[in-house]
Amino acid sequence: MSSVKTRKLDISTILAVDKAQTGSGATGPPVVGSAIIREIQPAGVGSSVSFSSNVRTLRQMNDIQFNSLNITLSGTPNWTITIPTEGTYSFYARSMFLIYRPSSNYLIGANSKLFIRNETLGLDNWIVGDSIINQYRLVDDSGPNNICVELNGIQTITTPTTISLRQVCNANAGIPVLTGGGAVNILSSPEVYATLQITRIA
Amino acid sequence: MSIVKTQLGSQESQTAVLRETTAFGVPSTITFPADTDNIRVSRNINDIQYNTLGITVESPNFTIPGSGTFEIVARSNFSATWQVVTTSGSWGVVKSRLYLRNETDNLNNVLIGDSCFGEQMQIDVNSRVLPTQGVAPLTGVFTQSKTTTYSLQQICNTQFQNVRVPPLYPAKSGGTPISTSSTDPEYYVNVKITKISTAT
Repeated sequence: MSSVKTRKLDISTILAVDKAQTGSGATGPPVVGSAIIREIQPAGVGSSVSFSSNVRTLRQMNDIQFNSLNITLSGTPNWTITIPTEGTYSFYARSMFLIYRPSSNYLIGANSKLFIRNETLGLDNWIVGDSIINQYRLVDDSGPNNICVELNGIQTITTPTTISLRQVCNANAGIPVLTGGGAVNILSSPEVYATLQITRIA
Repeated sequence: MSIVKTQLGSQESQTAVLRETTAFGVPSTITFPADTDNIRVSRNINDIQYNTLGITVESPNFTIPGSGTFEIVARSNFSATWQVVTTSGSWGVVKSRLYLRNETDNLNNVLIGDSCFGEQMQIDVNSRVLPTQGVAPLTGVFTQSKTTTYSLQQICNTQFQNVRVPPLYPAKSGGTPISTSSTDPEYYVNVKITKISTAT
């Protein structure tokens, strides 16, 4: 015979439990593993990344702003990111490309896309980002312009996994110079040209 | 009673989405100095879209109660109306960055956003200088050990070359209405804050 006891809950009891779970009480929020990884340069210094047509170019992730996932970075020359623990992760990435006109082209433009490559499994298109087109007509000359590219996705890993953030940037008009981002040089703050946010969700 | 659960636990995620909003068709009330660089301007956070964090808004600031570790993802608009008449070889662009400032402890650079450029100054077929716009993003994690008030601050600097002398600087603002046929409010700033740990 079952010895399970039932308890009738009224709405005030439910609300009290809810308050305990959602307030700043003893229970608190679920602890979420998270990491913020960036490509940075000193103030006034442009990105070291340069693009060639249809080449999945590595973003040079060289800075960890926050890390409760025990992620490690390889640094140059591979610029990989290793996630040590199996689980399901949400990935959000954002990066720049700089476009400007080196000579007399009245029209320049570029297409770009961001990728997360699973280096462990050799999967180029593990996560594929948004399709970004930048194209504009110029009157006579072109200064620099930073364009933002984004990526969102969720993947599950079952073993420690190494990934890289890669970007393709192709000219679609004229012969623009394309790099990984131009400096804004504001208040001596380090330049941020790419950001990868990794959050463990399961 | 609505409870949002994560797969990592049974408790509700503590998160909030804050915005800077105006009525339909109304530009952002934020302006940036036209001819002076590096001026931090607080975005006018004045709307709470979702809030299980207990955040309170006292425009332009907002206060996060208690202690913990928080993840923030913010996007902030800006626009420029160019006053210059361009000459051969001229161009102009607005460069912008977003900052999370701790008002309680007077810390300017709790977090700093991306190195962002707005659209380049353009001229249409009728030789009109077109308004330009951009979005400054910021992503990061920060901790606080006590209830803390923050502001989201933005800098918009102008860079241009070979314009009429003396240069006529563009009027820079926090965003222009999109002028759709709907009557939805305009949103110029979006901030999502999630508590990811009680630890500091």
